[in-house]
Amino acid sequence: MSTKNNGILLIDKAAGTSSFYLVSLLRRLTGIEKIGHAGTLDPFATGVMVMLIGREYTRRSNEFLCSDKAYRATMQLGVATETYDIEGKIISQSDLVPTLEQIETILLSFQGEILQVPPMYSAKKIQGQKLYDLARKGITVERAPVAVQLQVKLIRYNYPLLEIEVSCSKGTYIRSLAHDIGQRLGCGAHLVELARIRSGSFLLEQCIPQAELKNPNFSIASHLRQL
Amino acid sequence: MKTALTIGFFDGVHLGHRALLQRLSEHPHATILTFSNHPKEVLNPPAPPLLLPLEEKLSILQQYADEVLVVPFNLELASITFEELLSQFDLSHLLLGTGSVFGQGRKGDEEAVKRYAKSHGFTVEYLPKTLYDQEVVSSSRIRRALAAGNTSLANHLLGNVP
Repeated sequence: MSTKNNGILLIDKAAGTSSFYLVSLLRRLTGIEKIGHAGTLDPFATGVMVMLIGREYTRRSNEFLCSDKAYRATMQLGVATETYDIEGKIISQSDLVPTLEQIETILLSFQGEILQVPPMYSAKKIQGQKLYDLARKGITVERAPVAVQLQVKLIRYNYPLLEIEVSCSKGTYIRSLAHDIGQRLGCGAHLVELARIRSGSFLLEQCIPQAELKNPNFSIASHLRQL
Repeated sequence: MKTALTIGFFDGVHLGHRALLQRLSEHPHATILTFSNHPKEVLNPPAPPLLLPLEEKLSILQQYADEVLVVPFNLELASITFEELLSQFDLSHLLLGTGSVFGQGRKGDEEAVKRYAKSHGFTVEYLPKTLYDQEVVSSSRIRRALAAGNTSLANHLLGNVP
């Protein structure tokens, strides 16, 4: 099997495109059918996408899906939304302005193993009205909490924006974390910006900006990594 | 933007599902409509035990489509006609497995769906079942293999083995 057509390509995803868009773009650019990735990012999010190129690597996707990750996240305090991010309907607003000390104290309770309730699947993406209504009803369906491992660091607080850095185990939802922090602070919060800065051992600094892919002189084959 | 759509529960995302999803992913703007609970829970309980938890199913499905839509399968959804369900999308293409029927009263069979597609200007494709050892790959075959202790067969059917 040629190593030229197999490997890992690290991309810094641009905001506004889906993770799958990268899959189809790379298929077009390489002519390789078997392309996958090791964990999706929402369209509004940016950062590390581990793209798996070729049969050998797409087969190994489980190996990469399980890796821990790190994010830089910005949340807006005082506004809670249905989807916990910028795309959902506003469900509550508050004038309460937490102090820096309160925030530092609350963040301490989000260290180590915590139980997290996964967010319900996004009604925002549903196309027709009827399906949208059904998905909204699904939001109230009880979801079982999942144990995740977290480390949260305060980066900047400038009300209403709170910026944190999160290292976490696989399956952690950063928008649920933003929502939960808002709940604990008593003011509500939702996620406004998200960048994945690490996936397993792959760092943002190692990634190729998504826009580079469209550069006609860019060679994908020479950027493939083998593991 | 027009959507290429497939609909299914995709329990286990086995080899048969993957063949269909691979085909779907070759279309621009691929969308998967799936459910957060087994349709049998509503239509014909009890539902069988799941091969994959929802989160894991979704993380696999997301590798094949621009959008994965998840809705709970409840009585309200079961009472939507197939025409009404399809009218929720601006379709370019619909991809389904051979023999699949959907919508209220199971009226969305191949013949009815093809007629609807023709009058609404999109194409339809029914993909034949995937065979493994001359037998159709299905979620129930995998459950039977697991119950019989044949994890090797189950893993092969699930696509866990290269």
